[in-house]
Amino acid sequence: MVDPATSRRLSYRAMFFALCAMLIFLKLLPIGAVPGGIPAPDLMFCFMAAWMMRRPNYVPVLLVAFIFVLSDIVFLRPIGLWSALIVLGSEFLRSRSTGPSEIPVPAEIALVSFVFAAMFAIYSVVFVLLGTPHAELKTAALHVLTTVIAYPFVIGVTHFILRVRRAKPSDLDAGGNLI
Amino acid sequence: MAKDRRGQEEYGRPIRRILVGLLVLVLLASFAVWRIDNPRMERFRAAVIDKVVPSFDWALVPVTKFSRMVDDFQSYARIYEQNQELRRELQQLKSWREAALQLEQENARLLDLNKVRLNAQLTYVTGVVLTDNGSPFRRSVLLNVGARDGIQDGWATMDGLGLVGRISGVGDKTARVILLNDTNSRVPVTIQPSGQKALLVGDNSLAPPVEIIENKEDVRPGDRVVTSGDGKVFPADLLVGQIVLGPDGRLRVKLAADYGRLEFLRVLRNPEAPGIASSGDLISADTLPPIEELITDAEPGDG
Repeated sequence: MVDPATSRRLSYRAMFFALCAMLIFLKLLPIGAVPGGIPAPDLMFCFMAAWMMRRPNYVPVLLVAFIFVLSDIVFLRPIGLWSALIVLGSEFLRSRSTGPSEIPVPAEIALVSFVFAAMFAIYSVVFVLLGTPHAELKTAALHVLTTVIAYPFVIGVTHFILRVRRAKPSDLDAGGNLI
Repeated sequence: MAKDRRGQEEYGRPIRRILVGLLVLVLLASFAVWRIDNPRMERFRAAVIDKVVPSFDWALVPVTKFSRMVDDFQSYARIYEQNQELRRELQQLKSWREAALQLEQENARLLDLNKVRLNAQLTYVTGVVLTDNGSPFRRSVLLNVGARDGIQDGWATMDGLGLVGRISGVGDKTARVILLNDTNSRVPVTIQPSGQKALLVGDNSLAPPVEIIENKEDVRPGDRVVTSGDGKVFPADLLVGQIVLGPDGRLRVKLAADYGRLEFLRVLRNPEAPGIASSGDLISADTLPPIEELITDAEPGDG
């Protein structure tokens, strides 16, 4: 028999993968091809961060790496750079979320926004250093801004609809392990 | 039991950290490979997209159709406005039609005088747009025709009216079109009627600017922009758009192709398109002709 905690964890991992696949699919739809508008928020990062801050064991690092490499390939980004930054950022968030004290939501928003801004800054700097053509500063700043604005909504969706919540003492079994 | 587990974590943590570090290194290495051996990685990318995207196809069509329907429905809301607009346009078009008929007759007469044969090599393959690339920083679309249909890198792509972009990345069943407003796009163009040569430089906006114009005074908003065929990147005389003056004072091109609704695209067969096999070599001095030769070649024109 499969241990219920394991099967629950696996089903949530599958759910995360399906969620990201759906986001990739939505972004690929041939609508909104007109440039010059406000760039869409990076929802995949938002969901990754929101899940990471609640249940880091639902988003193992290999799954994150696989999904973001796939998105690098499909979205025509340079292969590997953004996903490397995502892995670093997600590990940083993981180290925060497994700490002893619980992080309040406003602090979490600030932390995640800071991490995203830092990652995007490094990403842009690498582009400039390598002399690869890149979008202008205004678009990049707007992209960061929309992502930060979208993050609280993503928290809401994660908490109320997907029901991924922080582990409470009632979620622990007799042995002190997460269910 | 719990103690045991905690004990394991004590050992597990540094090992995990090392493995994560390795993962990041592998990703950065793949980025380095992408940077160094770009054509190979792009072929890999085309192969992956070729596998992934057509499997979405069944879902793409209804969702796209639905969103277009919503768009169309929204346009009902301002139907009166549109009606007025259409009337005005109709009025203008009537006068244009007269002009076009006269020109057509004249053209037929002249062609008859000249016994001109139009270029028979420019045939085309029509494809349907599958997806765009979903990034706010890149402009490209994916077509459902690929190497299977004889598509090659570098061929020009048009919608019914104007140039849309250039094939870059061919999978077996799909091909990627880099649009003219992508930041990587550079297209040599001619501005009619003055005949000035210029370069159309994509900058991620709807109206990309033209650069390197010799005499800016000769170029006016409203001038036609066509491809020049320089460098054999594209066939000559494909319509690109019209010159407009941007709010920043730069000359920009209002593209003739309808970028809001890219649906069916024509890929022009262009047998002269040069292939790009490597990521580029240095031009060494001995591949150039000696300088004296260049100078002596240039001089007789002066004298």
